[in-house]
Amino acid sequence: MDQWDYTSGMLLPGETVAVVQSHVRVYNGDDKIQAKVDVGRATLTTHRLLWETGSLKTGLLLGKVQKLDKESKGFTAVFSGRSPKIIVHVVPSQRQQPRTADSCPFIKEKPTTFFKLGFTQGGLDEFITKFADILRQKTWEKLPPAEHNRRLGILGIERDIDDEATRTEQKISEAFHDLKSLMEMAKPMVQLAKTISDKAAKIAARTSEDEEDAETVRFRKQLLNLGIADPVTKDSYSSRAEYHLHLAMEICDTLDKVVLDAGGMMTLVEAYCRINRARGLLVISPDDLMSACEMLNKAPNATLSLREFDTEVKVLQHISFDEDLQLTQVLSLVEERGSITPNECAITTGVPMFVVQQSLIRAEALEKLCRDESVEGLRFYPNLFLNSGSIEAS
Amino acid sequence: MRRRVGVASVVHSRNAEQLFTKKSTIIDQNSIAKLETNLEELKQKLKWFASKHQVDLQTDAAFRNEFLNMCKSIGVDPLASSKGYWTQYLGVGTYYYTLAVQIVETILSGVDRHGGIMLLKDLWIRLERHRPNFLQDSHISFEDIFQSLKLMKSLGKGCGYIRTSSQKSQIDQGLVYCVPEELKQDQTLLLTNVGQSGKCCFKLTDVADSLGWGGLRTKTAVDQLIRDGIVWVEKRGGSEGEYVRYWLPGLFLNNSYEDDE
Repeated sequence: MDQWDYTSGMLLPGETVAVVQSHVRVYNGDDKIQAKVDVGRATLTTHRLLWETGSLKTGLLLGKVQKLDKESKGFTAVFSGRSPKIIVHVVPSQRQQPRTADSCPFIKEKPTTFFKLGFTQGGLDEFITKFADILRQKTWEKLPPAEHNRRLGILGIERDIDDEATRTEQKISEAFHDLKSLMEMAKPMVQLAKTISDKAAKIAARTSEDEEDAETVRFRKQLLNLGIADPVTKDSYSSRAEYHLHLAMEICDTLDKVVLDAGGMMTLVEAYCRINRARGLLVISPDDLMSACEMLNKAPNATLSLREFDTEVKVLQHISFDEDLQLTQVLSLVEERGSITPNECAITTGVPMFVVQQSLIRAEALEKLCRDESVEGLRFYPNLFLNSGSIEAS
Repeated sequence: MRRRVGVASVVHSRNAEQLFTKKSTIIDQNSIAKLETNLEELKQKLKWFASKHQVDLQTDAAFRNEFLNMCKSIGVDPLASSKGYWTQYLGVGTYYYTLAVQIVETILSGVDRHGGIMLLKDLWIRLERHRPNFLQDSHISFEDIFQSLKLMKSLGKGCGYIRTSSQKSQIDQGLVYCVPEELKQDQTLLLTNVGQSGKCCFKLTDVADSLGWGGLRTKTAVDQLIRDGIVWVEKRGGSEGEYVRYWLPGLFLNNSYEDDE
């Protein structure tokens, strides 16, 4: 019963009393509570359930109530004179630390998920009807804006934070109750997820382990952000070829910019990861990706093409990362410096060494460059045997 | 309130200020803790939904997008589900396809640190940690990882497993890579680093320290450079242990021969 608080006996702004019933006994779960006096006056308001005895004033925010039940009167109860009871199910407490005696009136009680109200002198029927009505209306959620301003001082700030967290907690557990409720509340949940994550982004990770996890989560966010709204599916096309062609177009649209940002080249393995994350839940197989990439040359206006190195590494290559263009770039570097090694070339152009080397060797095969292999490594010079002047690509 | 004057006033306001600062720190910590609780709750719920309703989510396009939007904001894996579930409803192949996505994602997210190569054991730990913890069944096994890597074979040699020991018990000490040697920038980075140091010889530890790399990553890059004939090795046995230096003949003309020791 640690969801209960002490109350002042004053009503909250906007709060009105719905029904009052005296001689109501409170039970924690199925057991009597440990307080000496366990019968008191129950007051139901639009915001809270209040319960007070001569020495104690307590209240429970209705936001914490999950549902109500009327205890079925057993056969024996009629004879034993047991009072009729309402079972009130509450949201399980999510507190990190246990509450202390000075803020929680029922500190000694065992944690349970429900409590009961026993009506020793009648009034149950009216009480439960009003209770159910109020739970449906959720008046406590429609706080007048002025209410916020009323809470002044540090205590007010602390309470606001508390309430905010509790409200969020409730919203989440309501929305995710089942598939249907999530579908109904999807829109506000998307917003909530965004708000929470924006706030959380400002909090730094605490340990290096957290940091590594955070790194993966950040990366995943990036990948998911490419989101394809309507992924191509096999069922929509009559032939596999047609499916793969459309998949190829989807790949071009989605990865065009990413491949360009990555320097014009991306392994199919990375592309596999990225396209699937962008597709969200509709995962494609590596074989489907491969078949789609083989269709890239048939796709209209494709900006990506499949390239396979002699070493069996397969990559998606951006149209701007043209082999001839690279060749021109390499040749102009040689022109400028007189000679060049593959690693100098890699450092200057930022292209991986292996790829640069391929271009240099290609230039050699085209008789534009000559190699000089010495103890200092491999170095390329302009081929002056066959070109007396300029070596620019023709 | 009575206005305080003089020294008493200064002392009073200073004390008050300290108290306020202290209190505001406590409030900050509190609200962060609350926020983290909410965030964690939402994460768990999203994962739970992904694991239970994968099929429903796949069939309803509008809802699927809303759901993905939530996952996107929080960074939750929308494919988080157990092997049993995938196998039962969507075919065991799909399980390995999703695991493949998760493997590549995990490795690529740390490329800045390790260059795209990870110990199988580390990879496995990270994958397991990102699995929803309420899924008791079907932990990821090494075999599952191998199976996923095998399925990606058709995508060319862009990823794979490198055995480092023939012993079965050491299988987790093997390496999984997602960036092929051909496309690595490590060698370029290493050469740039040595070139800038103004010397033409280096020790592994020097390079590893100044680049912030692990030993494994440095060694792999240097070995490749040795194979390509760009780097030479000098080894001498000595009373104070083995002396190993790596030389860059390409820098003989520009940089100094001096060795610090």
